Amino acid sequence: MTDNDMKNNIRIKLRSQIYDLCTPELNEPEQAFTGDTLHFNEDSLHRPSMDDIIELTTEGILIETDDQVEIAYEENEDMGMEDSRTALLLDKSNPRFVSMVRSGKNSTSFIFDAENRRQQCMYNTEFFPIELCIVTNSVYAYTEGMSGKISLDYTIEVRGVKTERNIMIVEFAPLPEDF
Amino acid sequence: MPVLTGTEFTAKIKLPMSGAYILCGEEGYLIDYYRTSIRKSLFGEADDPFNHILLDASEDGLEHLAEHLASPPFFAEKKLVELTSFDAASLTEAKAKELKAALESIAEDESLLLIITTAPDSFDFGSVKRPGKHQKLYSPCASIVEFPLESPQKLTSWVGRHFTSRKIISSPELCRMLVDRTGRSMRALANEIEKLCAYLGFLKRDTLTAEDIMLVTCVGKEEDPFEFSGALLDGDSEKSLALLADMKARREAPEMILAGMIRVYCDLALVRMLSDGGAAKNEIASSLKMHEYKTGLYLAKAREIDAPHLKRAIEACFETDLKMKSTPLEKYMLLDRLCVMLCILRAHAKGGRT
Repeated sequence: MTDNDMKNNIRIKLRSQIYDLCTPELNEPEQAFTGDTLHFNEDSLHRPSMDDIIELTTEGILIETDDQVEIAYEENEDMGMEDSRTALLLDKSNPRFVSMVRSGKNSTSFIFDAENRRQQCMYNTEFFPIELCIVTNSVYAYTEGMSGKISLDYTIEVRGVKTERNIMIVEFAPLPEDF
Repeated sequence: MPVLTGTEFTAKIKLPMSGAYILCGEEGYLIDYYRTSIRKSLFGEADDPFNHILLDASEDGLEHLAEHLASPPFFAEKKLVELTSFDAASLTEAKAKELKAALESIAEDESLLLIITTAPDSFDFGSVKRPGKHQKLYSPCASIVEFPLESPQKLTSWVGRHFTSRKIISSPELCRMLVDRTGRSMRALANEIEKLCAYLGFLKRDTLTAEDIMLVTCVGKEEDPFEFSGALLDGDSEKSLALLADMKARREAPEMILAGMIRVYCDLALVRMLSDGGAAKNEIASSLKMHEYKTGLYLAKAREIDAPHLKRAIEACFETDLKMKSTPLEKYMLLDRLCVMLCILRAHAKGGRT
């Protein structure tokens, strides 16, 4: 980061839906997001077979450089990820490419790329590193000033076996004055 | 038409291009890179939908190729037609003739540029000295460019240049370490470079360390097409199951893996049959259109395995094929079982039992 880079406090709202991949109705990868891929299919929120929903609202920072926007936040202790910090790096020239980096005891570096959908990634746990394959079903990032939205729909494979599908929406906006 | 190396092609795209080019080889990253460069040199950042036609041969692209080549550019000097996923091996003789005629039709047309990219393992290039079947077939009417995997030395400097352009300080030793760890695929390397740059950028560091490489990147395994069949024929269950697990991790279609296994045993049976009939190695190679080296390997293996064992192995493959196509049993599990069965049969054959 240079002195010229813009750094702002933001509020981040994250919603993550995690599905067990035996769920037959989610076998088609493009179901969760339609149209411009920011248009989320709300019906999928109420599927009975969904395994888990994680909602998190937190403060973070947005750092804007010439070619990318970085959204960084501290992970939640309740999620078992204390002392971890996550950043989503958005490529200004390509809304269909997002990197996710996490430092701390569960450090990792993932790539969500609409063109090269299968990405081998290391997920380091406090016990041992796990090699995962992140298969991006859809990815779209949109920013306007200090606000924006990232939609991610990806499947995690371990040694070729699909384990879960995660549909995540991250919305961010400047912190209100009185916050 | 000439057969070009990647370097020759690089020089060529700096000049006005026309005619037909077939880009083949294992290094898909470079093929995509050059496709993008050509597109940008013709149309800039904005695409021209009237003069840039993108056809997918795995769908019905080939059917529409001739009509797109027949029409001139629309208010422009040049028209670019791209045909992707071209599978030369699956083309019938009649279709190959049609394609050749289409390629010949644009040979003198300076307003048309056709770029054909091949599906993986579908174009028999051979080598420049010993041209493969498809190189021989299409080289009279198209320039063929092969993009093989680059050498580790070249890749090391390429990785270094990438880090430099991203303002990351790295050493040749670390770049070589990344190449050795990730493998020679430039796409896999580009992805790992991207992850490392994101990771270092996040930590506000500009110097790469060996620990970063170990922490962030994955070990890549290069495919050896004969390693799996070799392990099966040796009866090495541990190795063949490990290789099968790798293929599973890459989510290779189980049907394709099984087809490869069946091919090994059927080829082995044919080699043995011809050998028992008194045919010499070169005669077998010529009648099966098999490379002499491969024939030699199969001949040596065929002598080690008696006919009943070979028959039982082919029956096991057949039963697995039937189960895979007619039952809901998990396909990879069927392959695991077949793998073990074939290795047991091989072990019995080695022990001289039936």
